[in-house]
Amino acid sequence: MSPRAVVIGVGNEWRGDDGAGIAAARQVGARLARQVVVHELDGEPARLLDAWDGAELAIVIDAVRSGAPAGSVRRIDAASLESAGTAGSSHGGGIGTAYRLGRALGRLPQRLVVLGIEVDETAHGRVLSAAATEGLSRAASEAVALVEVVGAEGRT
Amino acid sequence: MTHRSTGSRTLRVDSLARVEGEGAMHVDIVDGRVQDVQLRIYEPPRFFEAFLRGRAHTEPPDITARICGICPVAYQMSACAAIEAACEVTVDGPLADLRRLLYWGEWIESHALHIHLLHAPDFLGYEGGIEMAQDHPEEVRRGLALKKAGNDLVALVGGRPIHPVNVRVGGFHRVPTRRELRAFAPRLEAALEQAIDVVRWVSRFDCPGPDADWELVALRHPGEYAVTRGRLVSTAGLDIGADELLDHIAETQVPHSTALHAHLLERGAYLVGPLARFALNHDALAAPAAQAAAEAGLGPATRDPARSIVVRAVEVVHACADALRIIESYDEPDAPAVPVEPRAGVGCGWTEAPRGLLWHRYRLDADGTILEATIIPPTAQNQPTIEHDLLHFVEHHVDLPDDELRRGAEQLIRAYDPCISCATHFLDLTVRRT
Repeated sequence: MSPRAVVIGVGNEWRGDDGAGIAAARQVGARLARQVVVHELDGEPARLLDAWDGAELAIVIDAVRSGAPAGSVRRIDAASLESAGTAGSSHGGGIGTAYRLGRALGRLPQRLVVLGIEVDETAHGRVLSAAATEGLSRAASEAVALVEVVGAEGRT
Repeated sequence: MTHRSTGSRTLRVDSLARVEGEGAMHVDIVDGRVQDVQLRIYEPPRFFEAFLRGRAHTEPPDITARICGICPVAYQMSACAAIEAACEVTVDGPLADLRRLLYWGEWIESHALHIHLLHAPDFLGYEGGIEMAQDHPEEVRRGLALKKAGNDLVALVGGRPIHPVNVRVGGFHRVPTRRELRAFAPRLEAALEQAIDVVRWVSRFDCPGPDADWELVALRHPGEYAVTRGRLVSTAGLDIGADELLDHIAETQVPHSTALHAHLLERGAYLVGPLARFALNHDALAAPAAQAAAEAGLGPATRDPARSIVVRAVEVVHACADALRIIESYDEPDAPAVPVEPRAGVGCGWTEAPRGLLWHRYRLDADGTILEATIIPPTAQNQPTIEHDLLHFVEHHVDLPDDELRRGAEQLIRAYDPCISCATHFLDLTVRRT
């Protein structure tokens, strides 16, 4: 049976703050163990499609760099994904490619939310910066709130 | 993007789509004649051979897997083969079968990705896999299902779907139980049927390209469609062992590429990969693959790079069929690995990555410390051949408008499925006409 809510942390936890999305997803899983299925992925489009297939709500949490202050969290809507992550190489398909491919194949979740954690330290190593640590906690709280809304709707 | 200026004509693509990695191509045309074609691989060198030095002989399978996210198993298998050769250890029986099973998972996922999302759009007239998926959703869904079956097989034997963690010199950290493998058989049976359908689908594609008369080079082992072992043979009579490779093949630096160019010392450019394997091993295909190839009209003399999409599809059929055979006959080995005690010496090993021959060589100290490492990936071997084919293509289509010339050149490159990340990296296309 398809899960109602999935939380997908995307990133590489060996590259500093690039692991913020994965750490945030783990926090959500720890707080809502029975309500969500948590995935940790590298952003490869086919695996993203598999992870969110059939879900009522899918939340993708990823590290981003947009020029905003480090640690801030931005909710990215579907319209933005139309042009996001266009890569010449299959090595860098990303969420934008997954979204467009999923739409073409009818394999999008009922609702897709992307939370971007602004980061600036992506050196080698597993250390998260203070700003990213704050940001991922905010992203996790936002994801928890979204999942709880879905859960509440399911009980009514 | 197209630029025109007085006295010269420049056509440029900032990034070649649908290849593994990034790079550039440059074409010089003077008075309507092609002067030079360069495949420029400009990304920084990755120094893997250098930072393997000083590491333990047990580490290359995990370190070199990181060279590529598409074919990490190939790096692990070639690394193990070379180190085991240096330590005079032979891995056979169920452990060798499990290695081949793991490798088939990688072939399935890599070929399924290239066929459906990278190469097929060229034949059907789409910019990419997403655009093609809108009109051909069932074919793309089937391709993604095949890719997932391959990834899941890698995870089953290797511990996770990319950069497997279960491989070690001498075998594995843990071997799957017979029951675990048997439970996967229905997935492979379904994948086999899907793969046969893929052969039928791609065999209908129009492949107008001329046959290229390259020396084809691949592993060959009696009774096997060779992937993890064998001697290196060619259509021109090459027949060598892994420790003889440097007597016959040399790598040279070229100014326009951070990847080395490999060539046969006496005969120059050559081709590795699906076309070469099929030409040299078609008699060893599993029955369903041989039948699919025959129905597709694929003969051992196939040389058109564009037809490699059909060969890849046939190889997926073979991978599924042989994987099922391995699972059917699998008996759990007594131990997950054989001991590999270090000794001073040199070892060479090779296997067939999805894109072709991958050769490793290690020189070890008595305690197993790596003193030297050399890796020759398939795309470095095919790069001179791709340049030659591009030169031929541009010469014969020099009067085409820039956009068409660019599109044709890109399609030719994609037919070879270059992995620039392995070779080092890749495509920005410039055509200069004066």
